[in-house]
Amino acid sequence: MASSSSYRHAATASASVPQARLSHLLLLFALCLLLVAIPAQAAQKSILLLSSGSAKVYQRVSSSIGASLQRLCSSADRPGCAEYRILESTLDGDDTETSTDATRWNLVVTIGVKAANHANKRFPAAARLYTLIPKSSTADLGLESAAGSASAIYLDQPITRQLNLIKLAMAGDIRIGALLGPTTDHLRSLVEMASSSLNLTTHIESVANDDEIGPALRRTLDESDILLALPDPLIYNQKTIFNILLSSYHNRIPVVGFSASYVRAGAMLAVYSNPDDIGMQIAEVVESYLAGAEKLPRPQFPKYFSIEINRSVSRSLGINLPDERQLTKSLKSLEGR
Amino acid sequence: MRNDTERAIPESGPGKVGCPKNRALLLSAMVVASALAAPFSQAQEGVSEDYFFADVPIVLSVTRLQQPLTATPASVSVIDRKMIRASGATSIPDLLRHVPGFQVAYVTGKRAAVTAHGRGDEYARDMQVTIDGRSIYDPVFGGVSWQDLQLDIDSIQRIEVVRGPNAASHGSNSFAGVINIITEHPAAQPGLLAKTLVGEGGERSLYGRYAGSAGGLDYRIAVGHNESDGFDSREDDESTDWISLRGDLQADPRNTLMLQLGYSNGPREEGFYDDVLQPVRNVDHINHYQQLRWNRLLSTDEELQLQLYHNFQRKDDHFQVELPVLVEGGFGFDSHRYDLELQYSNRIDSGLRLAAGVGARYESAEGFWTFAGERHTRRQYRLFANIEWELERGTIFNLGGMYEAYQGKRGLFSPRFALNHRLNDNNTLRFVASRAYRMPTLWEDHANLIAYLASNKMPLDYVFRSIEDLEAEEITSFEIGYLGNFPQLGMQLDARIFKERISEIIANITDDNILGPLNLDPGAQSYANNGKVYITGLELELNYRPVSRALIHMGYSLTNVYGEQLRHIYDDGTRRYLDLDSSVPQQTFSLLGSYRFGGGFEISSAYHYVDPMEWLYDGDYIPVQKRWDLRIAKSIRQANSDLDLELLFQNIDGEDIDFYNSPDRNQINLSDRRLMFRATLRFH
Repeated sequence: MASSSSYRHAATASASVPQARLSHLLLLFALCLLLVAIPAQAAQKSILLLSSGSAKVYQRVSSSIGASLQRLCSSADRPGCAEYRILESTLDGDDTETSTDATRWNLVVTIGVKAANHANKRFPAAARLYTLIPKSSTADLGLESAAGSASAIYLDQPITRQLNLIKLAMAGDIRIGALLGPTTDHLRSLVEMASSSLNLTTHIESVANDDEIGPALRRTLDESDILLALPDPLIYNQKTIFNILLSSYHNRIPVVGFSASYVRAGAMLAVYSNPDDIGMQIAEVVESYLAGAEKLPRPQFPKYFSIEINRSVSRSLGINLPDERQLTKSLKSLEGR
Repeated sequence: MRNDTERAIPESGPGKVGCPKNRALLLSAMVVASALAAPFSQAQEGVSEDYFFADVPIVLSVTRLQQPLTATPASVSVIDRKMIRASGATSIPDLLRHVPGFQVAYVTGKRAAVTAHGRGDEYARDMQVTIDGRSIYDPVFGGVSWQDLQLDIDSIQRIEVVRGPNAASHGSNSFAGVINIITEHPAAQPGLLAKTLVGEGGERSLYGRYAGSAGGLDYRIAVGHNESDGFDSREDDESTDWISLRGDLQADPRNTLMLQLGYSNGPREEGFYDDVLQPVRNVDHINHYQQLRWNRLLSTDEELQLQLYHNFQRKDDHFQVELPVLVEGGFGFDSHRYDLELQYSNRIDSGLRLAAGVGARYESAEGFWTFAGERHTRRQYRLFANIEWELERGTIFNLGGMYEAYQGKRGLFSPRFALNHRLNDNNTLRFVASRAYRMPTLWEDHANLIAYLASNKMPLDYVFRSIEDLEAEEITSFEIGYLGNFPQLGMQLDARIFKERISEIIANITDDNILGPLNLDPGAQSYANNGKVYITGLELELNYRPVSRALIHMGYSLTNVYGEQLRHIYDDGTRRYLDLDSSVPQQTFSLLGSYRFGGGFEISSAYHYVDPMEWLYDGDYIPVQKRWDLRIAKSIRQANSDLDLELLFQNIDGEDIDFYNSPDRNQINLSDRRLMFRATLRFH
């Protein structure tokens, strides 16, 4: 915890005082030369932590990784921890040339889609762990062909977790409504199968363009008890969210969102992984890699998650929800944890 | 330069190599983005992580959220879209028949009077009615001119009916109840819709609306034309044309603006042959309004709302009667209402909510016929606060009050105290005590209707003349309510027993001591605070939706009334009182059932029963009313549109008498069977 706040402090200070920044850079450059000059120990692993930008969310992920690694490594039975160094770097979209040797990294951990695409091109030789990345954006990263040397920790939640949450939150026979767009349409059979294995029924509408959202939403609200929002920008965006949240509420249909801001906006609840959750999981994968795992694990959904509830909405809809901690606990135990 | 922010994660753990303990290993962060120049990021079509972390404007803000029924300080009936659709109703008053304790009469074919717990006349004045927070209560005659609304039921999102006095939050005139009509947000009904209805009784109506968006603005424009021949037994043809506009602008995540405009006009036939006070004639109505509302979110739990609106109403109503000289008179007038209100809402913590505000209102009325050419105005200033306080889990206090200062009247304070106690997840008890007032209407305060000699407008006789300084009518109400909420069964049951005491009744009297200008015919109609009535009763409402395709709604009321009000002061000073015992029907019952079959077929049916009751003044004693409606509907989905076809059978069980029942004078409203066909085409 202490370390994460000190990073933020350093970042803020350097951004606000350009002169100091320059001298820092010189110092860094010197250090860099020094490091390159000293031959690295044979067993030492170099890890590059590449963020897509300098936004707060990336900073939170990386400080969470730092804190979690520190915690993991402080226990005595983690020998791998001693043998690594990590460089953090940020990709902000400028075409600044890099002077760092692309081949010197054993493991590249990317945070965000942009960094993932960058690393995929630039560091093909290194093991790559793509994180903070929606599953829909991993199609071009060759995760299948590079299994073992490339993997991902998705940002989206597994369908079953969301369905379990609905089962825990709502009483009775629940019919789940969902609108699927181009990004999520392939999930249809998955949603149907997972639902039926949990004795839930579904009403799913596919939407190909934004004209179809209105009527599909009306039909879905007519036929469902709860609306499961799956991350699809065609359907859920700044333009449509007003109609979706308002119409659902007026039909007394609660919405399960996919982020905390959807809950603030008016969804009743959401299970999502925040940067800290993702950071913890990254640290675990990195730690096992350091501990000698030759290969990266298969791409995985977030292991840690948070639940957010809009109490004003649930109260207004007359739905009594258990508290977040209770729901998290029940959800974990349903997942066998 | 900006992008190479460099931070390092400190190596940790025992026995670190390379760098001193706990010291960050710093490296230059020049790794960055050269390769970004390559175009692969444009090829990427998946979702960015930003999508998961982006801020979304708050849609369901404090003022948009309804208080859950378990916490409301009153029995609230909610008529939602599903119920509106299932009911097959073609007008708002027909929808309100489903509310327990409500009575609806048609004075002419389309001019409705809606009252709660009887005591109604053609201008049933006992309820406040709002559309999106704009009061449409007629400041001149009271009640609501339902036929003049610039609104089709298609655009109603829901109607919330608060049963019992609710002046603590809605001010005076929220006497026997409040009807809040909430229209759809334009964003919720994008596209074009056209609807037509044709039917027996000369029913013809056309309606169209378009809702769209541009930038942060969602808008709807709607137009309508309604025509009806009214009752077969009456000269009451009418038609109305209207247009309305609503725009909602999300200026930024914190600020929204709503603008509404509407205009309607149309001729209405009124009156009876051989009635000198109400001869057959054509009355022209013009109504328009402008409303502007600004909402500012101060935080997720805190909101400010500022609202300004103006209503204009014109009734052009005057007539000549041969008596045998040609005499002229009328009920026409112009009126305005301006209203400004600032409201602050705050969810202070999970157990404490506050809504408070200040407002000002200005009303004016003038008319040659009704006010002898004078202009009457009334200013009101108000201050209100309502607190919902969950003292302990499941025990909620609602404390509220409004103070209104009226020009030329004493100030009114309307308090309300309610305690909701949740026995368990399914059962809640409610105890409410409240007081409310009904201000005299401008007409009751200032009526000055004179019969003139048509040739030179010489005053001949006073027909209506207010001579007293009237005070507000007062109601005190106590109720014990029960709310059963069984979401697993899809069932909700509301029951309440209540006792209401109404005093200082503003009575319409005939005073023989009012002498006319020529003393031709002593006596005139007037108004006086004189009367008291006690109403006790029971109301039940059941909502049952076991599956989303099925809907059952039931309402029942049982009332017992005693009381009287002054009716006539004779020239010798003796007084006659009007017995109010029969002005409230003893029992009313309504049932609505609907089921949606596969293939887009839906059948629904509604039944209403009202015990005999007396409609006051112009109205008559009406025997039992039974009405049975049936609706058969078919939805056809097409690629770019949905088509709804509906057959509506109204009043299948045959003729009923409504409001007027004086066959001897040839004044009777007979509502007959009506078959109608309605088609709604909605383009995506």
